[in-house]
Parts: sequence; C-alpha cells; structure tokens
Amino acid sequence: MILLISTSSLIALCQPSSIASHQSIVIRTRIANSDATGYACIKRGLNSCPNIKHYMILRSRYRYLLVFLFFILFTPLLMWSSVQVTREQGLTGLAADAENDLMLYVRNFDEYLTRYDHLSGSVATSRLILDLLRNPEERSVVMAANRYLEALNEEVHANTVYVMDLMGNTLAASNWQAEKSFVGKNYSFRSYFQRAIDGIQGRDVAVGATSGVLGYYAARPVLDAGEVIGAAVIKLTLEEMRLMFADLNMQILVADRDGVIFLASDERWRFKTLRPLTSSQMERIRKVKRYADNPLIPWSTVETQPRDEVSKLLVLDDGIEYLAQATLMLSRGWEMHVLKPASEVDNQVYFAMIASGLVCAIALLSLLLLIQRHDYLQDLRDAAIHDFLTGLYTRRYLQDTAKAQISRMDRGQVNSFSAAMIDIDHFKRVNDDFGHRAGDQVLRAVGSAIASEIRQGDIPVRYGGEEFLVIINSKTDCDSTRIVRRILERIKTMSFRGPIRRLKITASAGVAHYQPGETLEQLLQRADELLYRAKEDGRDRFYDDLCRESRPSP
Amino acid sequence: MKRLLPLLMLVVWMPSLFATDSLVIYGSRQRPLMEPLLLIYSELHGVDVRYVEEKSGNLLRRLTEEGERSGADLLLTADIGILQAARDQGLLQPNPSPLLRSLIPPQYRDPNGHWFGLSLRARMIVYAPDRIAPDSLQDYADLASPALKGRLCIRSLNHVYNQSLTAAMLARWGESQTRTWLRGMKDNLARPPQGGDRDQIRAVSEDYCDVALVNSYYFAMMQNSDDEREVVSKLAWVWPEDGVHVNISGGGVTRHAPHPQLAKDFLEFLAGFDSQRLFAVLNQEYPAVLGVPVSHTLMRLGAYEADFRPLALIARQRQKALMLIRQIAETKQ
Repeated sequence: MILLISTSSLIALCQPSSIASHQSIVIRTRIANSDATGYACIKRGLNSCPNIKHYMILRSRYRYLLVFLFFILFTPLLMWSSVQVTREQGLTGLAADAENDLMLYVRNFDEYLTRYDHLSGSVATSRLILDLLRNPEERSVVMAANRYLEALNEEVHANTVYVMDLMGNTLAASNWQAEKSFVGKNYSFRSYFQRAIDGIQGRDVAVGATSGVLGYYAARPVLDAGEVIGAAVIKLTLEEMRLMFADLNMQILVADRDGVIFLASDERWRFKTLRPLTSSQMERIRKVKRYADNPLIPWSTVETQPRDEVSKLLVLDDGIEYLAQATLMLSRGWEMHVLKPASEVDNQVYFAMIASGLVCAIALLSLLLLIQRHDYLQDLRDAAIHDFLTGLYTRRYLQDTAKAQISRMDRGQVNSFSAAMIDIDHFKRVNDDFGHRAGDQVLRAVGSAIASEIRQGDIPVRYGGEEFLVIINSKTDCDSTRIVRRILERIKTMSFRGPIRRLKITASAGVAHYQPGETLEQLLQRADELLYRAKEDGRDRFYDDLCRESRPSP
Repeated sequence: MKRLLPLLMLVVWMPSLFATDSLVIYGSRQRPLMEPLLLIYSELHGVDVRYVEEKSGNLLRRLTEEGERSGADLLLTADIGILQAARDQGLLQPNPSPLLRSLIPPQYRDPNGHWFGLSLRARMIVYAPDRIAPDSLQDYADLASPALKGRLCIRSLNHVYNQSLTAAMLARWGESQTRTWLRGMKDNLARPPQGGDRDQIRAVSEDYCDVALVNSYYFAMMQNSDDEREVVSKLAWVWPEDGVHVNISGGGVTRHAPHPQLAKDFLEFLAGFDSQRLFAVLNQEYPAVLGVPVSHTLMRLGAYEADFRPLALIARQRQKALMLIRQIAETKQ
C-alpha cells in the first residue's frame, strides 16, 4: 500500500502535472519577492533567471523526494520493529498459555492414571482374587474371578483387568472370553509384574504382548498374610487421553524415562525418541519387550532455540515452528512436552504489520498534505501581493507597507521617503498599434526597468493600467529624484524584440516627498497631481515637489 | 506549598508508620535465590519481609534458644533431615492449609503440615564414561559393588544429604542390606570423604575417582556455568533404576511464630505457579508442584522415577540412619 502511494506520487512528481506547472508560476512570482535572490532577479528581469527558476522547481521536487525516501527507509524499519516487538509479546503470552496447558494436562493425565492405580489396589484386596490365587485350579473360583474382572472392567472403562500368579501366569482376566484372551499367558518379563512381586506398586507403559495394543499397566501385589501371592493388573489403552490431546490446537507428547514417546497428539511421533538411546537402554527396553518390535528412531527437530529458562522455540521437520515447554512426572518417571504452534501469534504480527504500515501511510499523506498546504498558502500570499504581469507589488501590498513606512517615518526611524508616480506616455497608442501582447511586453519591460533602478527596501508597485508607483526611501531628500530620473532614462533607452523592436517609450513621473502628518492618500494625491502636471507640460519629464533641481528630464 | 510539605510527607509516611506486620524468615537458602521472591511477595501483599540467612544447624539452634521470644515466623531450609529434626525438636507448628495440601504431592510434605517441600533435588550418580561401563551402574546398590573398589568419591556420610539417602535406603532395603551397602561404599572410597558435592564431581573429572554421588542441582549448575561446563562435559550420569532418592528444599511455620498467618500466606505464595518456577529455576531444582515447567538443563538430564516412599516415612528412619553411619565410621577398614 505504501509502495503504491509512493510510486503514484513519484510518477505525479516526474510528470509535467498541474502541480508542477503551477509551481513554475508560483516560483516566478516568488522570485519577484524581496528576498536577495528574487530582488536580483527583478533587477535583471525575470526571464534572465532560468537557472534560479529551475533550481526552485527542483528544490521543491527534492523536498517531496526526500520525504518519500525517508518513508521508504523508515516504513520497513517501523514495520520490522513493530513485528519484532509484537511477536516477542505474543510469544510471551503463548509461553504463559503453554505453562497453563502444561499444568492442566499433566495434572489431568496424572489424576486419570492415579484413579486406576488406586483401583488396582482394590482389585488386589478383593476376596475373589485372594480365593483365586489360593485355589488357582478350582474351576468355579476361576470362573467367579473371571466374571468379577469382566464386570469390573466394564464398569471402570479399562482395557483389561487380570490377575497373575507368582510365576507371571495369568489366572483370570476380564477378556477371558475374547479371542486374544490374556488367560494362560505368561507376562513375567514385564517390569510392572516384577515390581508387584517385590511387594510394591508396578506401573509401566508397554505394547501388549498378546493384543499388540500399547497400554498403561498398573499392578499391585496381592498379599496373603503379609506374603505376596500374586499380582492384580489393570491395563488402559490411553486412547481416551490420546483423543483428548488430538483435539487440541497444540501438540502434546509424553515420553518415558528413556525419552521414548509413547503418547502423542500426533500419531506419527509415537515410538520416536527425544534423545538417542544408549545400548544399555535399548537392551533394557528389549528385555521387558516394552515397545515390541517397533523401531525406535529419533524424533527430528530441525532447529531448537531456547527463549528463557523453561520455554524454547523449535522447528520440526515438517517446517512448523512451535513454542515448547516441558515438565517431569517424577512419580512415574515420564516427561510431558506441550508444543504450541508459533503461528498462533501470526495474527497479532500481521495486525501489527498492517497497523504500522497504515500509520506510516497516514503520516506520509499528512506530511504531503501539509507541505502542499504550506506551498498553496505561500502561493496565495504571493499572488495577493504581486502583480501577475510585472512581478511588482500590488496596491493591496502598498496599503499595508506604506502605512507602516509612514509610522516608521513618524517615529523617526527613517530619514525621509517619497512616492514616485510613473506613467507610460502614450501607452494606449502602443496597444492600438501593436496589440495587447506588445502592450504587455512594454509593461513587463517598464516593470523590470523600475525594479532594476530602485534599491533594496524601496517598494515598486503596479498602480494601475500603465501607471506605476515607487515608494523610495532616501537618506537625503533628493535621493529619490536621482532614482526617478534614472528610471525614466532607462525606460527611454529600452529596446524590444519582435514587431515593436523600433518602438521607443517614454514615461512621465511625479515625485511627492512625505510631509509629517500626511496620510498615504494625501501623499499619493500630491504625486498624482505632479504627474498630471508633467503630462500636461508635454510628457517625458517629471516634477518633484521638493528638490529644486527637478526639471523635465532631457 | 511549603506549609503543606510536612503534611504531604506525613501522608506518604503514614502507611509505613502503621505497618507493623513484618514477616521474619529464618532461612538457609542463599539470599540471592530468595531475593526475587521476597521482593515480589512484599510488593504484592504490602508486607515487609525480613530474611535471616544462616546455616541450617545454626538456625535450629537459634530457634531453640530463642524459644517463645523468637521473632521468626517461618523456617526455610533444605533437606528432610533438617526439617524433620526441626519438627522433632518442636520448632514447627502444624499448618493445615488445604491449598498447600492440594498443590504439594503427599510424598513431599509432612502429613500434619509441619513442613512442606517447595522444590526437589535428586541424589544422582555421576561417572566417567571412559572408565566405567554404563551397564555396571544402574542403582544406588551398585555403588557398593566390589568392582568399584577405590573408585568412589562421596562427601562425608555424616552430611545430611547422605544421612537422608541412608534413611531412604533403610526404608527400601531394611537395616541389614543398608549396613552392607554403607560398608561396601566405604570400602570403595577412592579417598577419605572431603569437600562438597561439586568437589566430588571435580574429582571424577580430574581422575581422582570414577564415580560420585551428588545432588542434581550441583551437576546442573555446573553444566550451566561457563567456568565449569568443561569439567562436567566429560562426565555421564545415571538415574538409579529402582527409584531415585528425591529430597526437598522446603519450610514450615515456626512454633512460636508472631505472625503465623503471614507465614502460611508466604508458604502458599511459594507454592503458587509462578513462584514455583522461579524458586526451582533459580537453583536448578525441580518444582515440587506437578505441572510447573522444568528448566532446559534439567530436562536434558532426562526423566527418572522418584522413590515412591513419602519423605515423612523416610524421615522416620533418620535416627537409625545416623546410628548406622556412626557404626560404619567407627569400623576400621
């Protein structure tokens, strides 16, 4: 969007558009202003300053170009930094979410399993089970135990509940009628059984030797008068937990003490290892047939980068980036990892990017509008005080400045000043004979002549059609007289190009010196009267109300 | 304005003038490990907290001497041996906080709430993999194996960490097997016990011995330290297979606490989720509350199964453990 705006505006700048052409007019009038460059230009005639004109236009364009360049550099920088800050904040929020999820699911999982741990205890203390282990050959006792276990299994939603003797043979099981019944099978190689026979609780995860289904086993010793006589075992498939994990907008994995993932929301991660297994670990896993013949290959992470002490960013081989946290379940010897997709913060990041882009676009547009407004105001001001044709001041400007001049004079800050009213002789004839274009050419030339003869601080004004007025500051009273004479002489010696190249122009003038207490109108009235007299007396001359040396110009 | 200044100052100072509630903690945990938590608690609850740091033995002695006059509200120290000793000496009072009971697993707290575990540390076996076959070390029992004669480094058996481990082994094996085990370990010593756990790790790294028995946080902290990473990089570790002895750093409300409610609040604050992470991470310990994330360094050490026996049960074997250790120490080689 920014680029679009930038490009379109750049194109507008490079084309001779209305702005550009308007600029040239404005510049022309501005040159006529009383700053040093403009004044010099008035003195030499506007058309003699093409370099300055171009310089002004270029300077104005450079200003726009600089603004654009600044924004082209600044916008990506702002977008980049806002993206970084937002992402960092988003990830911090995500880490807090991951922490909550980790606590929630670990506790959930642990409580879920603990229920069955306790349940295995009640199976182990059941009278029917005690009877079974005491009389394993008694058919009715076995049947009663089978039925009891079957009913219990249905009630507690476990996978299988079964009882083993000291040799590891399964005497009764809830699946006694099933095709792959555990009854009669020997599972003495399992670590949970060995633990239970040692008189302590046995808990393990393994792929079923008969069913081939991975499950969690909770075993308890069955005690008869303080002696271990067998083990009661509950098997869970963990399917309920897996389904719960799979439904989440994050990944959860649980690994055993060797780092083998046995439960994961992503089924493909199962039996992958978080750390390379040592030969003794492999041997131990093989000995208890924990994961049957499943190959235990490393879980591949492409990149891991810690964020703080407990959370890290990791990229998996499918290219997805996650924020991960982990904790240990020390009572079981497991570890649980929660992986939240880092893309969860993407929305915030996109929003930040768009917001910062918009801010830049608005800032750029506002700045452009401000610059343009400033330029237009400047142009309007220039147009209001400058005559379009000659570049001299207008009567409106005169009103303000001349009054100020009078005040300065009255306060004694200026020695003296005078008003010189200059009128082109027989100007109507020029218009009639050569047309208005020639008339304009003459007016421009007279304007230039006046501007070239006056000094800085004097005020040249186009007063009427062919009538000009100059407010001249003078150190001595007759300074102005000399200036007016020079102006008239210059007008007289002016040469033109084109159809009027043979034309000779003269002008008449009346110079009135300011008298204290006088108003501007009174001063101008007196100057006008003197001009009138000069016109009456044959033109091509001027009259001065103060300096005796004034006489008709030769 | 000038006239208003004293009034303004009074308003600003007023709360501190009336804030007589200040929690006094006697702790053996290093101040830098406690400081962030003390600050957070102070800010959150507007309670002034004073932390008196001393060695645990001294703290117990001080509490006994001060008796009812003691200003201490809370005792924070490490190891079940010390906490149980404090309980046995009647220096702690029961705290029936339901919150603490629900957060701290039963094996890491006193059944009557005299003490609560706040972070966990495991007694692990560290060895030089180039000199010891990994299969030969699977449990604490293997430390007494004749194959390790003259190759074992361990800090004094009389140190509370080893006393508690011995108590745990007594609960597991009974007296006879534990005595044999202690004797076997004594026979296996590469040098007379000296230094702390870090020194044992360094000794293995410097080839003075091949196996050492240390607390997990020392090993983890050395792994994290720029100066000592090199020392531990050569070493391997093993988590005893038949249940790792996990001890606690924890605390209890003192018997004569002037502000028992504040002490209970502070314990509950420490068992809170954020505090748990901070409390554990700062010292590379495991959080006592289930589900709190564990530091990367500890996760790299891997998971293990902790001894399922409650520490309160193990603590009952303390006296017997002390006696056994004394007997073994007196036995001539």
